[in-house]
Amino acid sequence: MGRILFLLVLVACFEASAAEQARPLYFGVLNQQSPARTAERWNPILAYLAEATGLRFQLRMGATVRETDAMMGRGEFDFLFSNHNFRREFDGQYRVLARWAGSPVYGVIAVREGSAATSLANLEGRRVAFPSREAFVAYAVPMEALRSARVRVDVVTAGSQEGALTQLQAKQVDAAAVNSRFLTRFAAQTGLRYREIYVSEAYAEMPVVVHPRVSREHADMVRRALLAMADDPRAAAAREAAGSKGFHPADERDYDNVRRVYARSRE
Amino acid sequence: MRLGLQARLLALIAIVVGVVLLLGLGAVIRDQARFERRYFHEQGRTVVEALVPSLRNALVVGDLATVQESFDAVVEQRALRALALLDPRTRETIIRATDPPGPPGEPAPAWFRDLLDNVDVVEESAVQVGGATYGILRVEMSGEALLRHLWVEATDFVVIGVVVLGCIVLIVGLFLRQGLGPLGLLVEGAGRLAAGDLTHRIGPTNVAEFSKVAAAFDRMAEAAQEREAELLRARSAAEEGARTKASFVAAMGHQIRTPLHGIIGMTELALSTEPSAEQRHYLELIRASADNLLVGINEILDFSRLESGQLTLDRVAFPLRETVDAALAACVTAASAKGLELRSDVDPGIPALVTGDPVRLRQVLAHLVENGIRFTAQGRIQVNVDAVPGRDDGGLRFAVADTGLAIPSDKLALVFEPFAEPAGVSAGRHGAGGLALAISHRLVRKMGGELSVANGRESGCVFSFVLPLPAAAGDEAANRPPLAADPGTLAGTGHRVLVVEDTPITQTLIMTLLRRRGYRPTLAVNGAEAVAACRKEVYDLILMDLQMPVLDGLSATARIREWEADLGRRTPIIAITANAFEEDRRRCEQAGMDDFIAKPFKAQIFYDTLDRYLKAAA
Repeated sequence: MGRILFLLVLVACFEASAAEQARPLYFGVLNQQSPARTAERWNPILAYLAEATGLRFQLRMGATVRETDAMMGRGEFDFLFSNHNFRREFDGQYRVLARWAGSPVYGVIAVREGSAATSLANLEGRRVAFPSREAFVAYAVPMEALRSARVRVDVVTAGSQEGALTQLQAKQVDAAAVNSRFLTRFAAQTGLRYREIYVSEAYAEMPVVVHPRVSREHADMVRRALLAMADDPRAAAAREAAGSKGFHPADERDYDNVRRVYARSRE
Repeated sequence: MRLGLQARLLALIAIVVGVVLLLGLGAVIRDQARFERRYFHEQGRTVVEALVPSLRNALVVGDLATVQESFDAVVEQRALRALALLDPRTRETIIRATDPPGPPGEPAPAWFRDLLDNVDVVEESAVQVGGATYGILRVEMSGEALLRHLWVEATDFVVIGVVVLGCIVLIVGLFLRQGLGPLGLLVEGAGRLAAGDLTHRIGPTNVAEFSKVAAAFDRMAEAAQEREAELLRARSAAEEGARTKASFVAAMGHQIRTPLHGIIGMTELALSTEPSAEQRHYLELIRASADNLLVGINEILDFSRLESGQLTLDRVAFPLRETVDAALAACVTAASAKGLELRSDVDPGIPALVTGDPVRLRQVLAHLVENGIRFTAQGRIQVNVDAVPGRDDGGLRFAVADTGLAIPSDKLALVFEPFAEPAGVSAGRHGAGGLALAISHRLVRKMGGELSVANGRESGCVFSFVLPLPAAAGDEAANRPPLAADPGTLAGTGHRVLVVEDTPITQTLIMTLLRRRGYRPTLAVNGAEAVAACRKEVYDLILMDLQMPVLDGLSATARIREWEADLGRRTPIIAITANAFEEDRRRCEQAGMDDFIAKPFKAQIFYDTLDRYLKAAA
């Protein structure tokens, strides 16, 4: 009898697992670049994950940040690379599995080297370029700083960090808000001479989060694969395509400062 | 139908150019099709390369509506037949955009499509992003537009080709016409040459080759002209020779007959003077010799004229029975001398009057009867005339049978050869001493029959022939004087006869003969005297020589007839001449003469003829 019960449980588990894999696992990625560029970077990672876990993945995203956020809100992703889930309206739905490897990033408001502005206050009424209103480090964080300093600026949405800095370089704006890592790289490439008049606290790189419907087993498999990616030779192509060093361990607490920013910007 | 050189050349050129044009057209169309197909592939690849990047974003986010819009726009813009996105795994169509309306214009026919194989082009490319395949982009391009385009090109090419071909044929045709033009001159020249114009020359032409031919032709014409001139000279000489010969024969006949006439006449006169027995014997030998000579001369003249084709036949109505009797009558004396019987049997069903030449028929029969007499020692000579049944040309069969010697069968074929004296004649009979049978044979043939000879059942032989002698219309027999009269029963009874004769011996002979029979002859020595005499006196009959000094017999006759016409009188005029040919007889008739006595004549014939006219007049 006991043996039969064991077999039934085993079959039930197998069927559940099979049903879960009747469709691929949807892996969402927040729109930081064009969907094609995103796919070029992320499909190799998903291929690696599939190879490492034996699961099937499919990249999914909306055409815009809003669409992707809406899909996230509807629970359409099994896994997601985003920090928008820390917004109050979404917070608590997804669990942090790991984070993009790399040092923390900072939100920066930069002016041209010879600019008269030396503080946020000097930006009052000035044109300040932002990549987009959906950006966290390059918009939510600096805007929160400006609001705290009670400085009102003329927001110019440049579409991307590159666009924002290009406008700064062309003197079409007085300042640009970007993340610290991109600013350093852009200046090195273009010879932009700048001065930082605001630098935020450090924020952890974006996490990979998992939807609660995904079994713990699968979630753990994915986490292990993500953390192993940095050293796994099978992931070399994925790392190169994504320009990634792999993923690091992370938990919910690593993103409390993010939650705080979203909470304040909401107020 | 035979084609001319020009037509053949033109047909050949047309075929060659046509084939070249068609092959050219085929090559051009195939090249064009290949080029267009390559272009289609490039276009397809271009579309794919242009479309794939823009599809990536939409496919990554699953925005199929945007893909559909892009497809619709591209299909319409690039005139594609269809654009489709296929599932990379199942190849099921996910999205498809088509361009339904075909290109304008007349579609190419099926055989043309078959000729060019498949011109549809399909280009496919996987849409991959980051190693993941999002679909297969399929670009379909229809060859319909290409086909129509090629069809239009082909039809244009054919039209141009036909025009070019027409121009080539026209130009070549004109060139050939000009080049072959001299052929016409050659043809015309040959035609004129054939028609007898040997003076025609072609001369040089505008084509070197034809000039050579024309020169050769002209040389040939030159040679032909010279040859013809030579031939004409030769013919002229030959004709002159023939004329000379004919004149010679005629003159000889005249020259011999005239003295012979004197000999015969005088011998007869001498015989009538009661000579001694010895004298009579000599005189009769003279007369027999003279008769033989006369026969020989007549035969030679007849044969000569037959051979030269100068002898012509009469075609008149004549009494057949009398003609046969006359032939026999001429032989009565000879037959009687040998104690032979002469018989004639004319089929009573034969018409009394038939159409033909009585003189020649009588001559033939007389020859055959004389021949029979000559080779028959005893018995008879029988002449039979029967109608040949089943012939509508009045065919009459004449047979002369004798009871004499038979002809050796191997010599039968030689009987009609002139002067045939076959070996072994002494053992049998042969030709009639020369020409009589040969002449008869030729005369019968000339009259439309064939003289043949066969040995009789018991003895002798039978000469026979069939002549077409159709019945004559009317019955002239009653009006015609009898051909033969009973000699010695008629006398001159004082009839006045004008004798026109220039030869003294003949004058003597005729005057004596006339006086002896009681005629009253008057002599005129030429035609002029005769005309004058006729104007002074009326004569019952005129005997007219033909060849005379001052005025010849024919002219004198014509004048007399003229003068008499005014008076409403017609005196019988009988020609007496040594010109014994048929033409002479005809000329006499034309001049207005009534009859003709050939010199030398026998007294009996002379009296018979006179009697015939004077008796009729009486």
